[in-house]
Amino acid sequence: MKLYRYIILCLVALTAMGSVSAEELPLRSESSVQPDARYKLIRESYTINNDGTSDYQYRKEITLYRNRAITAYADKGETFILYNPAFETLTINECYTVMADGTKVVTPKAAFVDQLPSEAARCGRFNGLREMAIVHTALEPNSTIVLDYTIHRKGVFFNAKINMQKDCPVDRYELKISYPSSIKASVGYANPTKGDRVGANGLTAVRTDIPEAWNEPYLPEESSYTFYFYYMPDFKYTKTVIPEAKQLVEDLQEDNNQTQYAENICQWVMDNVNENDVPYERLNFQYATGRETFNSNCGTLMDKAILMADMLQMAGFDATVCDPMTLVKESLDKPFKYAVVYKVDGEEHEFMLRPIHDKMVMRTVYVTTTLPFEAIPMIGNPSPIYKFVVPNPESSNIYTMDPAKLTSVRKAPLAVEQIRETEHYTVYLPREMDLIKPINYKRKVKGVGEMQVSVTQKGKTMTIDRVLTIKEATVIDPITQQSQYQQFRTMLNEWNSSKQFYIKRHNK
Amino acid sequence: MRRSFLLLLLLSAFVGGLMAQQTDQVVNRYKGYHQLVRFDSTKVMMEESGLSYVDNHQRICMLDWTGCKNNNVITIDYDPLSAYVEFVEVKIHRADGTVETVYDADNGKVYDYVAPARLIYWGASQKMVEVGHLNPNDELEFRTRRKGYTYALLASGDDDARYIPPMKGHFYDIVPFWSKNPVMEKTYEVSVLTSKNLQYKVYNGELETTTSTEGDRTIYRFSKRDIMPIKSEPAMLANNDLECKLILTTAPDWESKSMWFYGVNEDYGSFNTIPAVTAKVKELLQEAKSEQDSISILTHWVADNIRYAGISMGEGEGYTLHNAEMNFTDRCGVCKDKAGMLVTMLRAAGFESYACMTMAHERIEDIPADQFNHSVCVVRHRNGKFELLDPTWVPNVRELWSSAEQQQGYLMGLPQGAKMMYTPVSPAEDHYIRIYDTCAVKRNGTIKGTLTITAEGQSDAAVRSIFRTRMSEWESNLEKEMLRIDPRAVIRKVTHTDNDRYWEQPVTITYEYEIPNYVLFSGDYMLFTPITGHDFFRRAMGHLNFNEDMTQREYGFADRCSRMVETHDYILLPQRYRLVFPSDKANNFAPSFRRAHMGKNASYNCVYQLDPKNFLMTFDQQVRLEQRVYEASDWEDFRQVVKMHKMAAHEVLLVK
Repeated sequence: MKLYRYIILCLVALTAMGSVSAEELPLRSESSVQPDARYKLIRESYTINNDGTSDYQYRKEITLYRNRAITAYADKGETFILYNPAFETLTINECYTVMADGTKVVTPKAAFVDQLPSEAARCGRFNGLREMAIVHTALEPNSTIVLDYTIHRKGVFFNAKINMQKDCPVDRYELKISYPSSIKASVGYANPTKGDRVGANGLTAVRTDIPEAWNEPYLPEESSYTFYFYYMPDFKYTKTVIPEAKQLVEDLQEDNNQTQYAENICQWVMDNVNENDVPYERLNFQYATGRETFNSNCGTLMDKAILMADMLQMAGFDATVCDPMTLVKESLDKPFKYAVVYKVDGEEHEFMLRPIHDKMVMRTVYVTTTLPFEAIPMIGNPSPIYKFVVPNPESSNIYTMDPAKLTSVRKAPLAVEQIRETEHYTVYLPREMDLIKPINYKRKVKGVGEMQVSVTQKGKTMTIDRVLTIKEATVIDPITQQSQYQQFRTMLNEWNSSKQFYIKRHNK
Repeated sequence: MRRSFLLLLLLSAFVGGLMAQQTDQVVNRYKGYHQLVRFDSTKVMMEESGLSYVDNHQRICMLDWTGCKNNNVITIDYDPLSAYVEFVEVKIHRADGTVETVYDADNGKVYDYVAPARLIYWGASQKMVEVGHLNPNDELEFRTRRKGYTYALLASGDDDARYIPPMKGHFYDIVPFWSKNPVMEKTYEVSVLTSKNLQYKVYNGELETTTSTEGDRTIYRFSKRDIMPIKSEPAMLANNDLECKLILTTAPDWESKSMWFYGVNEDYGSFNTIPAVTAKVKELLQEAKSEQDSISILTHWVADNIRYAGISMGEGEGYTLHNAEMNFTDRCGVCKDKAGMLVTMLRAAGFESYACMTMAHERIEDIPADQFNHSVCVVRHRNGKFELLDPTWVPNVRELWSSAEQQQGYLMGLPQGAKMMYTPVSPAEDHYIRIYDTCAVKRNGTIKGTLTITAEGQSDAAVRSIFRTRMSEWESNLEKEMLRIDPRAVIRKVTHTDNDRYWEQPVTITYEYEIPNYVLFSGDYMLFTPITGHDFFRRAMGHLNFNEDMTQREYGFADRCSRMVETHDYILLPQRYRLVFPSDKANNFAPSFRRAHMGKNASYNCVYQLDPKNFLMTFDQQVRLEQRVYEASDWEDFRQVVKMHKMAAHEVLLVK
């Protein structure tokens, strides 16, 4: 009888779906998944010369396969090269396209436009910077773009983070970093490979068959194809006086609260000075004085930090700017830190201009409270069934990973953040109300963390206990740690879905 | 002497009081704004050739620190091939009464550079003066001068020739008398030879207008005081469609504009084929079976193979369509170049085809000025009818003319001239989304079924956007769409049409799925949301992004396109049930429930139906949104439809 009904149902559905085409394809197997494009070669070299100059050389040969790599939806058709003609000379060694039939089309002159980079807009100091926009022409499926250029620099400082992993596969990536052994440059990378040559004066590394970069949420910050090369001058903050800012500094004091006064100064600079995100390498690590930044109302984040310290000094605070490279010098994989440190009544405070994620800090949420019975009637009021939703704790630390974004087929590594979230709620149910179905989830994911959720009723008291603990930030590789990944997905689903449940109403 | 001193004291006290009062008034009147334009004055002198000289003079008062931050520089955009611009003077009136000259003939610096650009690399330039630090209540005053036009010119002779507009001897301007900042007074004055027969019209408001003559010239002066920004509403129409603007032109009619556009490109040879293009057309049309088939093949080829990236052809850039040689070799161009390539290919295939000008997402008013920002083309069928084609807007779209451009003005460039025309409303059913679900509910709460989505037109393109990523991401994207219904969903199988041949058939995606614990059983009750009640493939249902809580609109609004959504759900229940909710209170346990709103341009209808005999529940809904551009008066219907469509996500309650 049931089978009969199901057949009727399917027939009804198929009739209604009359216009649906039969020409559907199953999802492609992994081997038939074609990349949009493939770099045949990327060759990159950084060279610091003995004469106080340096060179950056770059070559790419990329073959385009799919329309997406060619049309405006993708970014393969244009190359942008940022440089500073004040001390850098750009030379395009060659630029052409080899079409599918082998015809070589040299990129026309009109396709090279030397324009102001948007990062340098609206600030006279940066107006000399240039971005060479190259529009690659004659693109078609199976065509290959070849671009080779050199930047010769009358400067020696570099601040390079090189990620060999691109949004399409790379057949061969050659990286060469070379500097005189007399200088203290830093080279670092996560995944040493046989054949790498590392010494006191540089590194030579070749990687082949690099897979395309992932494009999934919750990825770890670095891939195993990331290299670092830093050689930067030391920074020392020197106080300057800005006569033009005197009145403003005075006006920012609202009362006698010195901490608030210092905060007001810092916040004023953050909010009211235009920011140009120009890489320091392009400025040869030259920073503006506070006065220059104030009078032009524009600058880099570091320029703003210096202005901030100057204004704090003018207000009477002992203030200085952190060397932004300190953290980098300690450990290559840590981000730059832009902070101003000042003292109020001898106590040191820090104003972070750009927050950095610090993995070492354990996020903790602890709530224990009584909740009012505020359930949502499913129909009318009174309703036979009500929905009860546990409110999110009032904390910015709550765990927000969305299980709907964790697919069963994920291949990308998953970065799991630390958390210790403990919630305990008591709800007094009205006389005619009862929990429909108690909840009791307990799950432990080996090497990751654990979760426990229970919703129970005793008499007219409903108790909700929710505990989620992930002791350490970790990365799950869904391919080698398939079981952990699937358990983690389930755990997250249960954690989220158990935030709502149903209550029934008796007629008694 | 003493009397004079007393008088001076009284006078200064009076002036001081007046100024303080004025400052208070300014503070109160313009509270919440960052800057106040005290005046914005433009004077235009047009020569016989059409060459115009434009002098602008503005004074802006900084109302707060944000205003100061926003005005740290002044910039003027220009195209060096067709215009010359200069700063005459920039000065700051400090709040304490001192005046600082930032730039004049003897002081300061002007930066001149190619402006930052993406997609269009024509070398559009910018001049900039750095004003620097300003304080609230400081006032910035500046004068600029411009000579020329916004387009380049084909021929060049003496120095000024390149600044003469391409439609020689003619002049036009579109002057917004609206602003994002309050403006105390705005004036626009133009001096033209009386013989030029300048025509003008004011839209969406009124201007104070005076006309005078000086010798063989007529001077027109337009002004408006106290311009306040309108309150912005989400998805509202362009400000130019809603707020006061002035349009002036010396072109006599649309026909002359149409003939000029035809002539300028024919003269340049934009559509002359070359052997390589003719050979390509022949190759592409080998399999063509009909006239429409040929048009479709060529349109999609240009859409997909001439990528949107503009490089300059030098003189003539801006309004001249690149020729076939440049387009076919570069395989890139902007809208006009893509249109030019298609006209060339259609002509090479034996069709009669022309380029067209249009204005994407803004109204073209009934006065023959250049109100265009986009270029497309037309082809004439054997039956004599023209068909619009837009190779810029249809990559990955099955249409040949994007219906996202419905209710939009266009002007064909024909040898005999053409009138301004408007594209019609595209019927909602041409942009359908159909979702079918057939499922069975198990007693343990698991739901298992087959879900299919199919779509056409602009909705097809929106559903298909799931494939507009790297192929390696398709599988995960498809799964995420299902996980948005319920993260516990398990997909057994997914099939879909071949996106690489998108033009061949409407997109169809079919899921076989199972969701454990989806249905709640409680005693005699059963509670769940029909799968099609969720906003599955919401990416194709732009109307769900509207906030239906907004009860009133002052202005017209726009959706992406007209649209029809139909969903059909067949749910096999584990046993006989009656419908508790949704239901009419007066008619408890009725076998069906209908919710509907029937508006003129927006309607919704859904029916929940129980067939107790076959343990079957059906849930059908239909959403119809008939237009792209709506009047403010359509909002009530539109929002009711959005509200009801969102209500479908509410649980259904059944009882044994």
